[in-house]
Amino acid sequence: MEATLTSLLMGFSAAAVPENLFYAFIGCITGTIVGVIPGIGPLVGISVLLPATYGLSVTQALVVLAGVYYGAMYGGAITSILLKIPGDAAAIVTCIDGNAMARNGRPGVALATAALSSFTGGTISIIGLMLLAPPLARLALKFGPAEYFSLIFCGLIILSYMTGGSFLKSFSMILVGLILGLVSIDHMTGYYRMTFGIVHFGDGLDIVAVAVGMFGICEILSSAGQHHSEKVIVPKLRELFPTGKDIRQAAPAIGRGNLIGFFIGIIPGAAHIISTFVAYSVERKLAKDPSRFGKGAIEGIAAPESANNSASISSFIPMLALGIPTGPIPAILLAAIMIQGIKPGPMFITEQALTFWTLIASMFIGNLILLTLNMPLVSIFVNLLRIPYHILYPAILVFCVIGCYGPKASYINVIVMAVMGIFSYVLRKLEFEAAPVILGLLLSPLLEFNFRQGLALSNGSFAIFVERPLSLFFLCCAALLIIMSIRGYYKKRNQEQQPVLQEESV
Amino acid sequence: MAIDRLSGFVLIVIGALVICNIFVLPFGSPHRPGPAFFPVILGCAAILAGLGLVATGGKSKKISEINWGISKHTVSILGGCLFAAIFMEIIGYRLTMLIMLAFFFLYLEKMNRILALLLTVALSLGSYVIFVDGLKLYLPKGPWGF
Repeated sequence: MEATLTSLLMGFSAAAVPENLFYAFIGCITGTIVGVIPGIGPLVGISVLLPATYGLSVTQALVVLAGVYYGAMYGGAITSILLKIPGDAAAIVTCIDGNAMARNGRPGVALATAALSSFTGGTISIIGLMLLAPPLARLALKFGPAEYFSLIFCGLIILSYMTGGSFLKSFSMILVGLILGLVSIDHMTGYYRMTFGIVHFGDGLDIVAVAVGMFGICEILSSAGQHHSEKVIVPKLRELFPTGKDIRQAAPAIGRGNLIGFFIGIIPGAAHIISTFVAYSVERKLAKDPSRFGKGAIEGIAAPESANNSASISSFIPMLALGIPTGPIPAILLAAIMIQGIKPGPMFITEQALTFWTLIASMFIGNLILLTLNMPLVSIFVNLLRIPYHILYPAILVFCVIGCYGPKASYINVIVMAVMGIFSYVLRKLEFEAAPVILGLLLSPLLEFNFRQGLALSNGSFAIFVERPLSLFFLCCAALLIIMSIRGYYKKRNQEQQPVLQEESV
Repeated sequence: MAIDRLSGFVLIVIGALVICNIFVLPFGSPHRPGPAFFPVILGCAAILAGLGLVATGGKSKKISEINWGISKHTVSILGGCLFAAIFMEIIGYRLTMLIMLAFFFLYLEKMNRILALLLTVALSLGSYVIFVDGLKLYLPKGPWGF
């Protein structure tokens, strides 16, 4: 504990230098703006800003990008509450009671509750991150190729299970992502694989181009030409403070949301989105008067906002401790670390201790910046909502093109962005999720490398994956989830067939 | 046809194409897996997943029920991306963006001409200043140095 506190103090002394404070501020402001404007979202914001961080050190780059990530969680709530349009997917649930409270004449209290809940959820989650990540990294040092392969495989199965809709459809998208990840030079033998003669593809498909295409371009393709202007509710500064009764009602919801978000955030999947739905459902079930929900119940804002910020912070734990991202946003942050020439994994926390603890400290500072900025500056952020979408989307397109071209000065990445945009658009129409493709793409090289290394170590015996206890444990978890999804499919099919059989018997 | 069934068939074709494409490379053996080893496993997994979708996807929405939503905006946005990709290194970033944004604001969105021209110039030149002069990123110049 003493060592942790010493390291944290070291982190604060590095994070509090004017340069790093400036980057934390830029990240938080940019994240809030990105979160406020519907249709951009933290993933596109981070992807487009990534090239802008190449001239920075790894610490500064992570501070900015992490600031954008949790800043967007704050910003999304503003649009949800004032406009009933979620700034991003994680803010969908906040729309329900947040906007209802705003229409009941209390927009300031709704915004203040969202900001305070996000701050509390984020801060407690950062404490969890700093306590859990180092011991997890030490445990991961004992992992061999078999454990890593099984862990990644289990993570991908969990992602398929947790992503909404059919397990088979989500798993199919992971397979597509894994196949796309094969496009590169084989690192063990040097052969070009599936590059179709394009030398540029020797390094593989650029994750930023794929992510910007699948999320940014797809969103623009879906939304351009369809937006209508909505009436914006603008709160006054004096209305921003909740009463003692509001705080007493919100506090337990914040605590529960924080716990739910923290544990869901560690699991692969759309964690910050799922955590908001789970937190809201729990509050509704526990409430003495559930009929208040949907009409401006303060718990309906406090719990999801606390959960989504908590999940966004705890998703850093597997990313920093194991080098395994649990969602598309941690995947881009991992790409930011790799672009700086640093190998992510369990050694990151020990070899880059200053970077890790500076990042932790800057998260505390960033959360404080967001709390102090969001409340007084909310009217400025709200005015961003008045910008018509037909002016906004060409600007977003420009930033997307820069974000894809800039890193490697390659026009091929811009073409990849456009192609993946069309692909994601078609997936959306066919009701498939795009996020698993990104994770599959990023994890494919790691999965293959550990698989082949495991086999090489065991002289070709597949038994290595079941003989090692941890590897067996992860594979059993994966098998259990597959069995549960098959069982769920048959149960649903029988339930659908039963009314038909009853009708026939009558 | 149901969309999940069609998707299943497409996945089977993808799996088969991966296997056919990759088999020119050495497969190796379990104790020394070659570059084709893991892709073949993935290809087989894709075929199996595709078969699963075909078998279970009968009750999903029909393709004819999908509203593809292809409008002039959709085509223009994709066209804009391809235009930028092809011409950025030929005529330079700034000129490419000027043409692309002028198309969007003036022709597609039919905005007020003065506002459209102001936005076009501000975005194309402003983004160049921010990213090249401010953030030291590389964006190509045209043959005339512009």
